[in-house]
Amino acid sequence: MTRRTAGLTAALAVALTAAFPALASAHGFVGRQDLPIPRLLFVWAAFAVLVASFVGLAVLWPKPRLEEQAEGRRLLTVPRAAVPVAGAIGIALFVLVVYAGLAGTQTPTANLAPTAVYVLFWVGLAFVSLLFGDVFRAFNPWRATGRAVGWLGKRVAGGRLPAPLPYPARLGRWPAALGLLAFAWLELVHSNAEDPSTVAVAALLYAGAQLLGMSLYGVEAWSRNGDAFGVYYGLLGRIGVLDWRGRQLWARPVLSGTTGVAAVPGTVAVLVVLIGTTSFDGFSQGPTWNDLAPDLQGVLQDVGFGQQSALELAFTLGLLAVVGLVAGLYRLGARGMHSVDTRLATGELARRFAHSLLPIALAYVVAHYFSYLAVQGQAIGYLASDPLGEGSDLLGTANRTIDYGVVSANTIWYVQVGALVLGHVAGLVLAHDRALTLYENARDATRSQYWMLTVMVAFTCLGLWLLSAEAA
Amino acid sequence: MRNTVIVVIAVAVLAAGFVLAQAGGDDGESTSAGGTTTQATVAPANTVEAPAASTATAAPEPTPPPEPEVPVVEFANGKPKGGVQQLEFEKGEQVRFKVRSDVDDEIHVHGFDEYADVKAGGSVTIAFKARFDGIYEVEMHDTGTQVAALEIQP
Repeated sequence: MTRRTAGLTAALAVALTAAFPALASAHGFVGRQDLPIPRLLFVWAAFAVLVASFVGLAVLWPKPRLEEQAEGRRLLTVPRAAVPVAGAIGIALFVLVVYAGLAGTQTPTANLAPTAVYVLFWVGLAFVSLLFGDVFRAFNPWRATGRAVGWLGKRVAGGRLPAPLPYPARLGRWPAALGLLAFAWLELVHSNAEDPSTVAVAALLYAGAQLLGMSLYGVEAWSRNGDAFGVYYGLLGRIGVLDWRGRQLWARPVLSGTTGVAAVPGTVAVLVVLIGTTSFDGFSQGPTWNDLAPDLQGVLQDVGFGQQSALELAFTLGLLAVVGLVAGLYRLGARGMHSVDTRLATGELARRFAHSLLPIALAYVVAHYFSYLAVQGQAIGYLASDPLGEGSDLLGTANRTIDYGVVSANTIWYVQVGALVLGHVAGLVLAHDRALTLYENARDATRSQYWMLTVMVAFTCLGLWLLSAEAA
Repeated sequence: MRNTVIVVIAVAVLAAGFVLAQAGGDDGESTSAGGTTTQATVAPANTVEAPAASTATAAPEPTPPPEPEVPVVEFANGKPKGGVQQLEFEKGEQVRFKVRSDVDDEIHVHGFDEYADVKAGGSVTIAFKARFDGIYEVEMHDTGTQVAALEIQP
């Protein structure tokens, strides 16, 4: 009873956190949006998730499977010389993007910087991390710079550099969560987010903050915890099959890598921020928000804000509200699990189950940004030849254009629905697996469990209502 | 155990029922968000004037003949009249709409990258073939204001 109930509760929590995507999605800077998902497809997707959760609860494995893994299989080892080369490539690309942003034309679509950061880096690397594991770690320009400085310091100062401070355990991944929230704010709220110079300045500020963090706490400790993008791509890289251990590439069963996510503070925050900001990106394109935002802006203007800052503040509030809603839903699920066995604290449970949010975060990214990457990513064709937008033709590809018909609405819809269904099922599986290892046969409070389920159903209905209203 | 199973089944039935009710109940609902929607039903009228080529034809129009089948977007005082207009067409169809403006500007249809100049107080008809689907911004290029959302259904 208890084990299954625990698994069930965990799975439901995940399913419901997941029931809140706003899919009338797309994105600002290109002037193109996806068509909303047709209702019938949406209904089938919801059904698939429900049925999958049933199968997961009733039939699925009675023993944890993903948690206790064999070693995996070693595929290859990268030569030592490749490490500084990869780092140098990362630094060079970073410098190119910043230089283009500052020195090039300020037309967003004609300058390399906005497309490189918002499309190829932010969205493209998420797909790369899923397919090829955490390759960003090797190319991470901040980490590479930090390591180079450390190496030089050893040579020049002869090992007399002061040792870094121990990384504060309580800080955990909170700096990364804040960094991701700041990035989302820049992209979704800031009025001039797509200006090449804004992108370049933001990149420089971010790099400066990372170098500061690394100099305080050491390169590896900071990259693992504080570097928003290092943490983000590191987490996504755990979902897929390929697993980088230093210079060695290993293969492992899909999803099994996620069970090793350390339950440090701030992990839930990172994932909640990812899911919440992606949801807000979708929600803010929908009719509900577009009716609400001007009113909110008006109120803020009456209080004394200027027109533009009032709009930005309204969007900031919306962003925080959606992130808060996602956090609240997840917390509610953890609370329900806590009521099954009160010896496990709610906060501890929330952290222990955080990895089950990971496939959902990925699913949101795929569902919202797949077409964005497929369409706007093509801009690299001409941008690579003319990064500053000043008429150069370095590679002979400056005349390439974007084929907007490369993915049809039907393809986009099926990818979106497929990603969401698969992401949710994966989340359910992970939560189920983790619950099996956590709960002993304790006598559980069945009545609070019922109460929990009732709340959850209410939230599912709210989420579905929001979704269908947004997609109408 | 049995209680839990019953509860879970009840929950699932409720949720499924809700989903189905949503699906069934909303079919007749219009797709508009507010009252600002202009449904672009391009009637197969005998309009032979515009060439099928995907070019924008500037028409200063001294005597404007009534063309009810072409949706009109009005840009005045720095804003689209009645909010951002919703223009709906189907893929493969001929997109045709008119923009009237109280300032000199250039109209830009994103994605299709159609441009057309408009003079202050005048109007321009934009026509091209909807080669791909999606939702695309129509903006006044110099003012940088979105005036319409062009929705191409598959």
